[in-house]
Amino acid sequence: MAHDELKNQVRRLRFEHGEMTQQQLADKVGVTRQTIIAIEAGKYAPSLPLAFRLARTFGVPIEQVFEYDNNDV
Amino acid sequence: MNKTQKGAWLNVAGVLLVLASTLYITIQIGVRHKPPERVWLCIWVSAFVLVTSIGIFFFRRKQSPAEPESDERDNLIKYRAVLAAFISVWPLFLAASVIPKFIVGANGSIPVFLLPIVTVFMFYIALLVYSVAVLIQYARGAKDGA
Repeated sequence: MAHDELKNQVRRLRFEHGEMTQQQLADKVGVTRQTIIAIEAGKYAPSLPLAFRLARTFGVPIEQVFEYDNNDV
Repeated sequence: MNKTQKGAWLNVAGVLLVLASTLYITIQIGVRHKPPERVWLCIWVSAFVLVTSIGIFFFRRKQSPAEPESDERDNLIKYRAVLAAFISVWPLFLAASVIPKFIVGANGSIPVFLLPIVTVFMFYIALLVYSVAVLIQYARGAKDGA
């Protein structure tokens, strides 16, 4: 059975962008702080629009924020 | 704590109060054949007012001025909680239909006032399941459970 894992660099990117807090990032992308916490912990895979909003906030392509790890495809 | 979590905690507190008071009134009227004692009713009404006041105060407080009412993860959590509540209604309905037969027998009778109480109980237990399902999902969704 395929094992999907979505890794992300949100925590690192936050610190590289002036040590942005989870709350500040949440306010910028229009979600609650709990959602940012869950994304960073890898417990929640965001929708594509939210993933793009996160990437746009950091000013990087989406591939630099999220990495899809699946050996089957 | 975001608005969905606060709402769930408020629901849990409110539902437990309603269930406790309903159980008390049912036992007083149905088993002891006495009217509910005024002291207990006053305590419960005060508890309702207190829980509602504190709940509304905390519910209105935002984590930040830009905090949305709910986001995509909140909606997903609420959707799963509704499913859990819907599934919980069926065993409750089955229990409410079958248990009276074993208590009073196939040809026995129960007071009419118990029927709305059973229905209300089922509704409130489903609401409790919904709220607990919301809280569990938030607790499992993040390392700090915040």
